[in-house]
Amino acid sequence: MKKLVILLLSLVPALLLTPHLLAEETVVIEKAWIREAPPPVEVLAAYMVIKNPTDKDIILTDAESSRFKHIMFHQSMLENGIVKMRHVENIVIPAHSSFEFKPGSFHLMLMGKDKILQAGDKVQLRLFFENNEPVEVLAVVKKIEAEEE
Amino acid sequence: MSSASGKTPLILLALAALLAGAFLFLSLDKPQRIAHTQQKIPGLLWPAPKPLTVFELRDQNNTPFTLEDLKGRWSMLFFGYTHCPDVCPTTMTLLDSVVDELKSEKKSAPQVVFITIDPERDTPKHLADYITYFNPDFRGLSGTPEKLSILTGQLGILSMKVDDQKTGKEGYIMDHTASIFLIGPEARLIGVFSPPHNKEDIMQRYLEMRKFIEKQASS
Repeated sequence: MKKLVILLLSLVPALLLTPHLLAEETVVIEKAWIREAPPPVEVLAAYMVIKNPTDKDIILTDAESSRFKHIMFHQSMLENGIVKMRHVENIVIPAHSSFEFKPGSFHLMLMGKDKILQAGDKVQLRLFFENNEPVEVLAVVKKIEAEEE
Repeated sequence: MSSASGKTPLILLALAALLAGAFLFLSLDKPQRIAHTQQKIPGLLWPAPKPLTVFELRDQNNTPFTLEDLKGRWSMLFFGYTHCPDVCPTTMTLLDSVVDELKSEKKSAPQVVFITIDPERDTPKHLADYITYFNPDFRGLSGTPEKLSILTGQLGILSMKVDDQKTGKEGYIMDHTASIFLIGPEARLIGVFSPPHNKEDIMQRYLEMRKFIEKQASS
């Protein structure tokens, strides 16, 4: 019995390592979150970091979620004190590099929510890449404080 | 012992001279330093702050909001639209924390006024839930495009609908001025804070501008 327990325990590090090793080979998505919005607001913004550890550039082409009708990539920018927002067709994540969606810059624009989202809710997003498998990511809804932005 | 007591007056004299020198230096330097700071507050519109003229809008409770509501208090004005998912909520959150922190430091906080540049979608009812979410004390103004332009025109606010088929008829984007406007108690435009906004920076400049204007009024 004792031997069995030791054997099982010795397997734990190997099990923990496996997903990590697999993840090294493909795109990794971190810090995915959605900004909590006032109840009447129909459009929300999602942010995340996409890491590309591969030798090839990766192109993010689309995103979807069962909780929203439509998702687009947008970029906020400032020009002479005027804030502008533009739709971006796709996002290129260069080889061995990462791309960050963040407030005041690039964001995923989530349109047509199915119901009000509150801080702590989790939303499944599916990201589509050119020549790569789609990636599922769980984004947490957060109420943001001014200091964090 | 006798040599030590003999040195004491000398040390005292040296100390007195040092203090006198320091006092002279500070008293000479201070007015100059203040004058220097006054001119250096970025965004301060002095010596010619623009007096605002009459306008009439309605807040989120459908209560009229006019030029009179800007008198006798300090106000921060921000123009945006509720369908803006990124920059507008960031600024609203920032303004809430500016007010919060000023209050916690027992300093007088300005009234915060959000004015829509998208009256087509931002009705008072829609604005009510939006404003309450950030801070129920904030005022959220709407009105007909003509009535809005009376105020936006005075402050040089630019806004335009972006023609993007992909966002659909209902989900259109607006480009707009993202500055925060500081209005003094005589309903004059005292300062403009240009984006990108930073909480500490806005708080500091607001307090400096306020102090400066109050000093002008009392002198």
